[in-house]
Amino acid sequence: MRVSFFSTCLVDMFFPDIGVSAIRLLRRLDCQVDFPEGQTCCGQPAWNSGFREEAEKMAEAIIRAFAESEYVVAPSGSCAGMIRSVYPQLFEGRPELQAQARALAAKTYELSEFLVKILRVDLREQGAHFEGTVAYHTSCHMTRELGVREEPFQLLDQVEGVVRKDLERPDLCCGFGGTFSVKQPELSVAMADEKIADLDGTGAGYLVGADPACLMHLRGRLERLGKGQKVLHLAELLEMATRPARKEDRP
Amino acid sequence: MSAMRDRVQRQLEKVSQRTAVAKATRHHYHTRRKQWAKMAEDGRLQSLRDWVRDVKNQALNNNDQVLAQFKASLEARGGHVHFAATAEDAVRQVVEIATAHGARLAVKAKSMASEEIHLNPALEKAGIEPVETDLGEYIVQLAGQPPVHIVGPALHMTRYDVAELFEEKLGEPMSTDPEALTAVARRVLREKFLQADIGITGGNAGIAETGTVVLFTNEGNGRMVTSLPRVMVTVIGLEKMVATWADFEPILTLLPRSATGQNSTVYVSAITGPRRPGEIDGPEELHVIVLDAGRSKLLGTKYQDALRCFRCGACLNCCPVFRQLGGHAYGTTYGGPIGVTITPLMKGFMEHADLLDACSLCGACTEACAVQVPLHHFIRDQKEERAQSAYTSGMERFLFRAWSWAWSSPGRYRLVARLAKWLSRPFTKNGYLTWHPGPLGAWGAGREFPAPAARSLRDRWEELEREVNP
Amino acid sequence: MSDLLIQQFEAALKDLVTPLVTVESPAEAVAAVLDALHRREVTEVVAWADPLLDAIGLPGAARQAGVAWVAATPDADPTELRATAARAGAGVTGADFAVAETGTLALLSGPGKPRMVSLLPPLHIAVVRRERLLANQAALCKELVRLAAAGETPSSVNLITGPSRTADIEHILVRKVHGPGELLVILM
Repeated sequence: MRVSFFSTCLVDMFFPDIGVSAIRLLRRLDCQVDFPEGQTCCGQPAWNSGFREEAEKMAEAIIRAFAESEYVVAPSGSCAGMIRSVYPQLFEGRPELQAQARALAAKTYELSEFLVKILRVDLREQGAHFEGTVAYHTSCHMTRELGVREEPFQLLDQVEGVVRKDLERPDLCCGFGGTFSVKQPELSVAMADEKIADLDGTGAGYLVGADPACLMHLRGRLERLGKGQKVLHLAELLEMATRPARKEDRP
Repeated sequence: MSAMRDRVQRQLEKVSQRTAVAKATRHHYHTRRKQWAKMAEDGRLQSLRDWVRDVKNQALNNNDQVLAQFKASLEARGGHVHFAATAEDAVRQVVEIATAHGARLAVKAKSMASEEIHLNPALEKAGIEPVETDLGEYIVQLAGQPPVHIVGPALHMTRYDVAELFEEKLGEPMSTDPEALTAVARRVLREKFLQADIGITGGNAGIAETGTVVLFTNEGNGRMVTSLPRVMVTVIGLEKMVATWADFEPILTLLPRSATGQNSTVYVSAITGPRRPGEIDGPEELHVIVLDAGRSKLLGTKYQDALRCFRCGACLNCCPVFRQLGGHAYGTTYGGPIGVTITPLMKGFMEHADLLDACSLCGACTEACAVQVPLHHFIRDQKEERAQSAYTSGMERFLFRAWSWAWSSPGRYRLVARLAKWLSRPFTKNGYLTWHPGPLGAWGAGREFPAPAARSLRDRWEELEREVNP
Repeated sequence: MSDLLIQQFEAALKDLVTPLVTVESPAEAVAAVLDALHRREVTEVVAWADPLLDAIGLPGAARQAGVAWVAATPDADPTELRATAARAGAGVTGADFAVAETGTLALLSGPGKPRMVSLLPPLHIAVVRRERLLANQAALCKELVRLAAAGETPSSVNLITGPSRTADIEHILVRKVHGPGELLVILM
């Protein structure tokens, strides 16, 4: 299976480890991974702020970059969501681009969705192991735009040693919301605090999510508050969990 | 800083209000979900939501005819129907009716529409005492405060606050037991119900077939207000109408289950005209004021679906922003997702466009909406209109244009990324920025912001490729 | 009449803290009402002037038991009736329909059936005929649609589902706000 990795701008610039983990994980699951050099940013900040033309400009670049891809996999629910739910709505009056946008949407997946629905993995077969108490935050776009709800939980349950300590309101928005995070900073932080209070209540040592934006926001607040919980992207946890014991066995 | 942000900051300081609102919304969020899960199990949730969407759409698409039919039906049964193009018209009409009857005391059932038109101050000015009879509304009226939440107007007050308030205003010693306090309100308000000259209500739905107005309540004050006073006045938005009793069924089934999760509110009161010959209670005279006040602006537009709203509050109860802000910080009658959606459209776009920022576009509201209004999509769509309007500064437009130009080419993207990394190097400690310029200042006030990585993923791909594709 | 339907009705009413007394004869119905009145020391009742209540001899039996029974007959003085209803310990009505799924009573207004009877007194007793028990809200709506089509929609249709309630103070559930705090349903 040939997978084109869409890192997303946040992962590329700020959290490359997430990208490295995701790529290693995919390789370990027998995928051939390529990294189209033309990729930039999916454009959702422009879209969510109401700048359609600007979003379209960036979408064009993404469409070009992944034109030859068979599968496009992103470690971000919101970026995959942008491509799947929004790209088909763009380019009114430009039928060729519209068709290309739809073609791209049809082959784009969020990482956990790809693992479960396309690769149909069972990480138990990999002897996946990770010791830790985990609270999983279900990001808004992933669940509501993409409809990917169960897959991350299924994957976590395939890892021996992971103890799930579910949040009371896993679906409550963390408060990032794109430009919302700087346009309404007090509100954004208040929402993060509510999420963190929920996290405290679970007693979990790890906060895990599948959207780097949410994690950046929550980790930023946890760090400022000096709290002890560690933040991990699902890809990082799964990569660590499936890492072969001996260096020689690594791909 | 916008007026909205100012209100937000002040509201966030009111910790007890926030706690009360969070508690109330959380409770109703769970009870609605439980009820919806039950209906989904029975296989009827989506069909009900589709049915109510369809009957509402039909009524909205034919709004003129439906209103005309409502008027004809009610007038045939001895009722009076008035159309109020603006809030001022509606207020004038209510005050005229009240003064024509020499009314001195008006009892009110809970009505968001009457809040919207600011009816109470106008009544008082005309020498008529308006008494709110919903317990929560009564409490905040006594306290001189606006309601903190549409389902629980006084939830920010403790039993001690209420006892103290009652003691002060009613002049008798009070127990702090909620049952005892409710009994006091029952006693005091009964006198008002029995003495009132005029009863004023809102309406959750109107049925054009027979000129019927329907109220969904739990306390019994809606029944009191529509049974005891001689004159009854209902203020109801034009979008609340459906054509027939058959069309009313999905509303009956879905509204309470979406609001609080109850199978039904304790009372559903369908009032069709004044009392009939041989009846000894019910109003002798009944007026319905059909309120426009900006609603018709949505008809025939892409936002028309927002008029399907029957004010169940499900969107408020799931909104992560509303649970922080309660009712006041929005600065408008309707808050939460529905308020953010319809206020700029109904009440003036430029004036209320700042509300559009009170939303993280999480989509919980669209998921929870009983009548399937695409709320967060409408909010985003309005941001698009706002981006092209005079509201948006040239600077912001320029910044987004520049950014999208820079980042729509891989070469320019790499350049910008490298520049950001280079500029941040002197301001990095432990992987976080120590300086937060420009918009990052707002971020940095409460959170750490990561510094760009020393090597981007793109930088690392070459060796990674060798590793994974040997 | 399906036992299952009655069971469903009873369960729905139980969730609403509303007892259901199923009786097999008029005498039993009367006894159930009088018992309820006696236990709450009710001395004055306001009631529908209703053929069913009359047919089972309820007004007479109540008076014999020392309860003042004031029915909303055509010749009743409206002001006095209202004062009675405001004072009475109980209001007794029939029910035009009942809904098993939700425990709802549907009361239509009309001569002899004023709204205040089921509204002002603290206790509301409804005597319901089994034939009037419908399965669910859909069945009830069918009846309301039929009424409208026949031009017979009354000035007031009240759907009553349990005793009045509020949670406006600290979100604590309190029953008995403005409407009755207690409901009793007698099914015959």
